[in-house]
Amino acid sequence: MEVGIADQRSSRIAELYALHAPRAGRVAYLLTGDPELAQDLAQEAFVRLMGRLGSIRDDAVVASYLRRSIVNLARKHWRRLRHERGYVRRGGADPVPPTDAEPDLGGRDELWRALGTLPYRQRAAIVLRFYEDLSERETARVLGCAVGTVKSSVSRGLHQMREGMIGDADIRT
Amino acid sequence: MQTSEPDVRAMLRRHANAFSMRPEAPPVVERRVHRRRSRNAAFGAAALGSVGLVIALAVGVIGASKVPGDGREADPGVPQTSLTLVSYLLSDSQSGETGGDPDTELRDHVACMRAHGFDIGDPVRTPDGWTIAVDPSVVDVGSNAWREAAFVTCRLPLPASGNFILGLSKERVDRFVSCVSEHGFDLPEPALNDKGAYVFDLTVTDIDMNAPEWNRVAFVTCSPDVAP
Repeated sequence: MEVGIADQRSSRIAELYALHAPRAGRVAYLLTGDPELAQDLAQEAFVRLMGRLGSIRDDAVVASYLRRSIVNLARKHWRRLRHERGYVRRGGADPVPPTDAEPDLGGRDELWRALGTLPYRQRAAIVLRFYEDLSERETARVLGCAVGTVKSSVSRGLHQMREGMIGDADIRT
Repeated sequence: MQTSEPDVRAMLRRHANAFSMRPEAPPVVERRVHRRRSRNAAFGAAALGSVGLVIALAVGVIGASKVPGDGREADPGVPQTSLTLVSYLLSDSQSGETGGDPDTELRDHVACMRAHGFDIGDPVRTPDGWTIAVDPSVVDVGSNAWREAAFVTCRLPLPASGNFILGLSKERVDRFVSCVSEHGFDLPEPALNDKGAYVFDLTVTDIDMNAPEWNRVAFVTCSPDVAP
């Protein structure tokens, strides 16, 4: 009987993983630009979620929980990275170069590279608004900031992407 | 090159689709899930009795100028003679308890505080939780030493709910949020509860409410009464 219950739980875990983890991984990838890290973050978020599954059953809530968890885990990664870069700079060495481990899309996607230059909140706001299709209010809730901050983050992010792009692009909002 | 908002959306979709991740959960993920569930189940049973107490302590102390029980802000110049430990999630009526001795955790907390030189009273049962009498002429509840002892050294176990509640004005809550953020803890947008207090759901963050680092920042460094 215990074996049966364990099998049932494992099956549910596998089912939920297949349903939610790859999408969470895609969001993590857009937030970090690092596919290996994105996979790690998605798995970590999933493990955290499953630890609480007794109180989270609805698929939409699962997706929402994973999204928030991914955003927070990615923010933590960025903060650590920023501290490491600051430490290296103080030591006089070269800054840590941005990751180059990304899918090969021809290597000419300037917009993607410009996204990678944004501060974390701007990047996250753009990903949540334009990939996850969240409203400004929903985005604010996920990021833990005011709606006005989301608006300004998206606006500044798009502006900075335009400024950072090679060539004279024209971003319209 | 056209880079309008639809272009940004298309770029994000393109790169998201280029990212591949196997839909099968690796064995290590399943093992970690089972371990975490076992741990949570064990902790949940142990922490149930103190759910309300810890949450209320956060309100009662950080919101030390709050009038216990009625949700109004008191005159900050009026010394408080007691700290009210009110249960928001496991009220007396919900728990079905009618009174009796305080939980072991609460008793241990009081003993620890006394061992650290803070002469606080015994926990007393009230209609909405527990009260620990504190004589302001004996104990300076605004001091860092008291807060360090109360919330770091002698802290009660964390609430199973994961909620962090501040019974303060919006301005002071904002100041608190900025302060903890400067110390590496980003809080989510709070919700207002029916008592007018701001509730932060820490389950969506990486904050470990049991960690001394968090408790020190929240209750000592950024406590609204002592923050710069």
